This record gives sequence, C-alpha cells and structure tokens, in this order.
Amino acid sequence: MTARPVYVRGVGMTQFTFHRTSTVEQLGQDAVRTAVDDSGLAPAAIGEVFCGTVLSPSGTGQRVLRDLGLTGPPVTNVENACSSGASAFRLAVRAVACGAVDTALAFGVEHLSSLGPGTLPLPKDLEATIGLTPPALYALRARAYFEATGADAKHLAMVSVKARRHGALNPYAHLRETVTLDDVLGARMIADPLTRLMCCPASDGAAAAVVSAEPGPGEPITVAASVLCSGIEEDQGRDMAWSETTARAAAEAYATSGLGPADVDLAEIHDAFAINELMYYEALGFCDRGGAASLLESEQTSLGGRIPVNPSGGLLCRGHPAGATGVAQICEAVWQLRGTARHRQVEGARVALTHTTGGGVSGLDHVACAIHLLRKERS
Amino acid sequence: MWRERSDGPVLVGSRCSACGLSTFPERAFCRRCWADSMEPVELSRTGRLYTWTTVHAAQPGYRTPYVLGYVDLPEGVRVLAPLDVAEADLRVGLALTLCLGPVRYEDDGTDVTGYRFQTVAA
Repeated sequence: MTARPVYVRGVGMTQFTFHRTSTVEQLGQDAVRTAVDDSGLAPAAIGEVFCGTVLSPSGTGQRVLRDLGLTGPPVTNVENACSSGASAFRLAVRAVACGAVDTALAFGVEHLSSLGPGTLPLPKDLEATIGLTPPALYALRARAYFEATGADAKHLAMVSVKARRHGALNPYAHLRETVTLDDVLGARMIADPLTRLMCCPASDGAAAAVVSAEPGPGEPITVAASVLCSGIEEDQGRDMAWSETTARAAAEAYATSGLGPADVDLAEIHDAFAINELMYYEALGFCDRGGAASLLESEQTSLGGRIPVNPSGGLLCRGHPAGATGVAQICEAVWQLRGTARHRQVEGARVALTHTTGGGVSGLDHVACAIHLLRKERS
Repeated sequence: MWRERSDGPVLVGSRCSACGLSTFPERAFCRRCWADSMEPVELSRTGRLYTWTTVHAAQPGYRTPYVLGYVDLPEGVRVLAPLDVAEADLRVGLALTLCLGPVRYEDDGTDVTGYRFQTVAA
C-alpha cells in the first residue's frame, strides 16, 4: 500500500484516568502539544489532521486545535467505534504515503466519565434493545470460546492479572495496582463469566502522533503496515469463538509488510474484555487456533517472554477512552521501539504490532479492525 | 417482529424468493442477490442454544440478573433473546421454544413485552 515510506516522528498522550475537571479540548490539546514537541517539527509543518472520537460532540478535532493555533489545514473527525483513533492514524499515514502532505497529525480523544458510570450504551439496534451490553456480547463470545477450546474463567483471570502486572509499571495507565487471580474471579459479576476486573475501565484521555515523509534524527520508526478491515455478515452459523475481522486484517498486515507473527517483538492489542486477548492471540497468528490458553500459561506473552502482549497494561489496565485507544497504542509502540519505556521496556524491540477492533452491529464480528506494524530501521 | 397465532407466538423474518437467504428481523432487500426479493416468512418456533450469559450489570430499564442467549433456528438464522431457563440447565445445543414475556420496562415501570425462549416441554 505504502507509496513512500512514512515515519512516526512524534507521540504524546495524557494519562488515562478520570479527568473529571478537564474538558475534552484540554485533554486533546495536552496530547497534541506533547506529540508535536516530540516530533521536533514546527506546528506549521502539519499539513492535515485526523481526529478519532466516538462519543464527543461534532467538530471536536477543530475545537481542540483552535486554541493551539493549529487552524487552516484540513481536519477530519473520524468515528469508527473502538477503532476510531487507529482509523484516524491510518488516514494520516495514507495522507503522507500518497504524497498529499509531507506531515500529518492524528489524535484520539474521549471524555467518558462525563457519561456517568456503568456500561457504555450501544447504538439502539435490535440486540441492544433486547438487553445486550458490550460486556454481555463478549460474555456470549467467551462461552462460545470456552466450548470451542476448553479454556475457562481462570484463563480470563490470568489475562487480567498479567495486564495489571504490566500496567503497574506504566505511569500513563488508569489502574496501577496489581491484583491476584482470586481478586479477579471474586470481583462483582458483570456478565457471566466476565467479572468487573475482566472489563476495561471507561477512562478519559487523549493520545496523538505525528507522521512524516522525513525520518528525522535517530533510528527512524516506519509504518510497515497500516490496515483497516470491517466485519462481514456471514450467511449463517457465524463462529463467535473466532474473530474473522482481526484475522483478515492480520493476514493483510503481514502480507503487505513482509513480516510475520514471528517477527513481532511486542503487541498492543484490544483487550477491552479479558476474553478478547485469547481470541486475538489466535487471530493475530501468535498461536494456533485453540492454543491461546497454553500461550498465556507459558508466560511468553508476559514482559520477559518472547512476545509481550500489552506491556502498557492494555485496555484492561491503561483504560479505554474509546477514540484515544488506537493512538495510545501507537505511543506505546514508539516508546518501546525507541527503548524509552523504562520499567516495562521490551528489550531489543524492533517490530511492534498495534490492534484495535470493536463496535456492535448485529450480525457483524466487528465494525472495524485496524492493525499497524511499526518497525525500527537501522539509521 | 412477531405475531401471536392461536397456537402461540411466531417470529416474522424474511426469505429471499430468488436465492433462499433467510433473515431475522425482516429485511426489504436481499444482500446476497442485491434485489428487492425478500418476502415475510414465519420462522420455526424451536431452535438450539448456541451460547449464553447471565447479565448482572445492564442499561436502565432491565431487571437484573437476566439470561441472554443466541438461538440458532433451522432456517439458518441466529436470534438473540432473553431465556427462561434455569442456569444449571444451560448448555450448547439445548432445544428451546419461542414464548412471549417482559423484556424490559419503560420509565413509568410498565413492562415491555417481547419474544423470549424457554425450555421445550418434556
């Protein structure tokens, strides 16, 4: 796809937490300023902007940018469910890759605490009116997954324990305390088998990334793959233990980059609920079908293992300000590839995979799945 | 989306007169043939449980806990519905039959009736 190489020049994000006294604009401005400063480029170099957000008001991107003086370049607001931020990043990459602009900015922002506590509302399609909530949907998929593979709730708890262990090392994470298997299994039930500690927090936050046709100083980080897939409605008997959207997106990302799952040194994946992590190990090719529980138990996806998954703590721990998550994954990937992730550093990381997916449209696996592969080049 | 008949409720879906694709709920357009060829059809009352969950945290308007399940009908249609099944009896492939009952309630507390599935009587 890439017509010319695209480099990630600068990244920045706010902590993900309940920013009750901040506005969505302040959060976005904080992340954008940090990313532009980090890029070493002048704000005037930005030729186009894409803002990912799910539940913020119309014109959020422009509202964030106005008070930074970043007016003039085209701004597009992007809504693509949980992949909104990653979709915005992909559009920025494409704008540079095709030569339309030399430098583009992508950011994602969300202020979910202003919506009040509890599960987020699904759009009012049929299944939501019957009582389907986001955790209920993944509980239904968890049951199907258990039936297909023999995994059980203990494996879901292990995912949460790992996420918290990683996230405790990440100053940007919403939840900073480690938990035990008993804590997770004994937490309040949300939708059986998912307990509260197997569901990500609905956080507030923003993240931003500057991409450019110029590599800048230091070892450059290229976008080796940038893929978006949307769900297919299957005629009957959809296998809900399998994420077809992620599997298609992964196949395309590997094919277009020439990289494979064995080349990936770390992955930031969309663990909105603990079951997702197991399903996505398989769809991303980190293990064979049905092998996710064994891979998790082997600790190869923990920090120190062969392919640490969610060294940031993931959505379960960093939190999930929906539109910001995809760009936050890019921030984490860049810090890991630069070697500046401190206590959660994956040593020697050269290739990072980011993955967001989600959205509830009845009959589809997902609204959209975005996968990016970032690679540190030798300068 | 359903009708009450003398012998009980039925779900109304649609079937493509050209290619045979079945849907629930009813659709006006066949996504497979790309034609206005869908006709309303009454679906089978019984199906098999594909997966389920007991929901404890819900949006306003739902009495928790409640059991939700995906039920596969012989037409190749999968329907999400609340289930009237004891938790201990839930298993993949369980035969279920359509019934009506409250699915949620309005702001004034009035129940809203909808379709549900229950265990097939022995």
